[in-house]
Amino acid sequence: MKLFARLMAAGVVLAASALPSFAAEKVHVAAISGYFAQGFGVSIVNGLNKAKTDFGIDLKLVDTGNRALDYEEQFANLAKSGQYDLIFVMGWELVDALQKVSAQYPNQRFVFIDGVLDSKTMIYANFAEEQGSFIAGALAGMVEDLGPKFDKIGEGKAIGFVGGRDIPVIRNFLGGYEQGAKYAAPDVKVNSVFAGTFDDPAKGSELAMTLYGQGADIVYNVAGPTGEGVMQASATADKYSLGVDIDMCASAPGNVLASMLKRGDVAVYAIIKDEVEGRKVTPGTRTFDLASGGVEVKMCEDVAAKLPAEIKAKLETIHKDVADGKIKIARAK
Amino acid sequence: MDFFLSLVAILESTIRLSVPLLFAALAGLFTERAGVFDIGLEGKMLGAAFAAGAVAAVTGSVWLGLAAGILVSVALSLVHGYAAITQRGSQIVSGVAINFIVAGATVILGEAWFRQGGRTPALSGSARFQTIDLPFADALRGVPIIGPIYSELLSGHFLLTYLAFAMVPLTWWVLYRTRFGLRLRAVGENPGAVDTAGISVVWMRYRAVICCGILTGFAGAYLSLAMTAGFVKGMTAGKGYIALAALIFAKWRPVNVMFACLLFGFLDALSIRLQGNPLPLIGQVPVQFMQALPYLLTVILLAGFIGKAIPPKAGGVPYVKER
Repeated sequence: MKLFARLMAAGVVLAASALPSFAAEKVHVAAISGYFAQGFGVSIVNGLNKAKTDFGIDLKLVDTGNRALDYEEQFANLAKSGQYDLIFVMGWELVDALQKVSAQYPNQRFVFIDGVLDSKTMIYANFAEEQGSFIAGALAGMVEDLGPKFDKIGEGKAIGFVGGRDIPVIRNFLGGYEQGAKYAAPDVKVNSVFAGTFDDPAKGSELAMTLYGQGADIVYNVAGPTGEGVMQASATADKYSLGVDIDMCASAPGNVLASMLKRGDVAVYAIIKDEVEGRKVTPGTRTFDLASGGVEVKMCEDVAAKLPAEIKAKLETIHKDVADGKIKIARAK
Repeated sequence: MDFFLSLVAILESTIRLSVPLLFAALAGLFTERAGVFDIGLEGKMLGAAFAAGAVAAVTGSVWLGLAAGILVSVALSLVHGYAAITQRGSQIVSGVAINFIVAGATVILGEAWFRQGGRTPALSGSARFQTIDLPFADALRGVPIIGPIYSELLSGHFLLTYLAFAMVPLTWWVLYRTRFGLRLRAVGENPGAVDTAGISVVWMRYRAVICCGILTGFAGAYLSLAMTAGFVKGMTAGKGYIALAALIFAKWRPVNVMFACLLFGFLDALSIRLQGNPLPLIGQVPVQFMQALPYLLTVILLAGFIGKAIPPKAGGVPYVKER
């Protein structure tokens, strides 16, 4: 009898704790992008799916495809029914259409992932890519500074950067990278180039080969599929590359130093978590930084094993100082 | 000396960038000289790049990959041939259709087979073409002038690179010194006359289209098996159209085609090289200007220097036997 009473009590407690999530309206989320299948998009989908499993949200994924002409219609279709609490949007090519539709439906909460726009009615999931890039730059700078005594490094005292298009978000990566290199290895020069496109791996490879030819031994790619070419060029030239957005160690094993990860999954999960737990997500910018795990630099084990311990130690100190705000990094405008 | 070494580096980069253009432009030369316009070079290249990347990734053999690339590209050419030659449809519409179908199909199949967002897995080892060092390349490296030219510029390219440049005299010889070439050109200028001579216009044109397929197959395979290791969605990035422009620029002649492709490659290499380096007298130039430079120069050259480009007379016109 005593046991039964105890079980009852436990049941009541369980029911009570489960109650708010049942009583609250189910959260409806839509996400729209043309890039769910690759790189950064995959990590966003992972985050959304994790939220779906953990919180039982209603999730709809919309792939825009390459139909640039009807972006607005696709947004309007999602917004006009008013059934979605949050609509996640990823991709700079969608910005114009997004801003128009958002002006038409000011009460619809759009979450723009990976950037900040002018509109006041939207939520922006922003990444402190300058912090991650700072760490990447510091790492590359210190490794380059070792000179020929480290495998595959020459005497060029230069590191490279290949950007996709010359747009503010890519400039922000570059800025962090340059500041990081300057902080950790003031003698090392940063050579930066832009491909002008995110979809041309052959051009990425050629740009990287040129940078290697000009004395750089480590090249950081922030160029989407164009960057694939950069990673492979590092294998061809037998130099080093740095990956971006996702773990790219497997792209050119032995030639990838590290990857600067932007954790899209962490960001969307955190936003949905707030919404589900009753902390309504309001318009404004939310930045996911080094401290909150939104960005991180993941070293590739095969190369990391060869790195001198003092570089690793120094990198950890820098990591800590950036996360604590002791090192201030300027954002590119 | 520094200037000389940068020049060698730019020219080396020019060669790498010209190869896909050269294969594709020579491919276009074969069909267009036979009177079949082909705006689908881009699509066929992309299809070949995908097939080559996919098969090489699965089998681990670069040769099977190359064969698959050629096979797919020839198959697409035959589709174009069927629509444009047998069914006498619009050659432009058929070519554009191929571009669209391939752009979509490669991503869908790639995603279905490899689950990497339309990419094929990165290739390494024997699944990818390796660069070839010519004999004595290392020994000559230290020799001034000749050393860099031989061991940097001429040596250390892919097999397909050498093949592309070998295709230029071969194409010239086939077109101008063989019976097949004479008939092929005649079919593009005056198919009626060829028909009167008792030669099948349709079969001639099909053969030209197949030649085109083989060459675009090489172009695509170069992109996914040599220049980079693996297929990436939309990786041709307009090279098929640039090849078409080079073909017109070269007035449909093989040797001119080579120079046109080298010029486009050179402008591209130059814009890459000059980025971030200040120019003498002018100073720092915006990146966007450097990126637009190849296209600006193309327009200027096309508008001002080549004179009138006259396409093959029967180009784009389906052949209908007179009754």
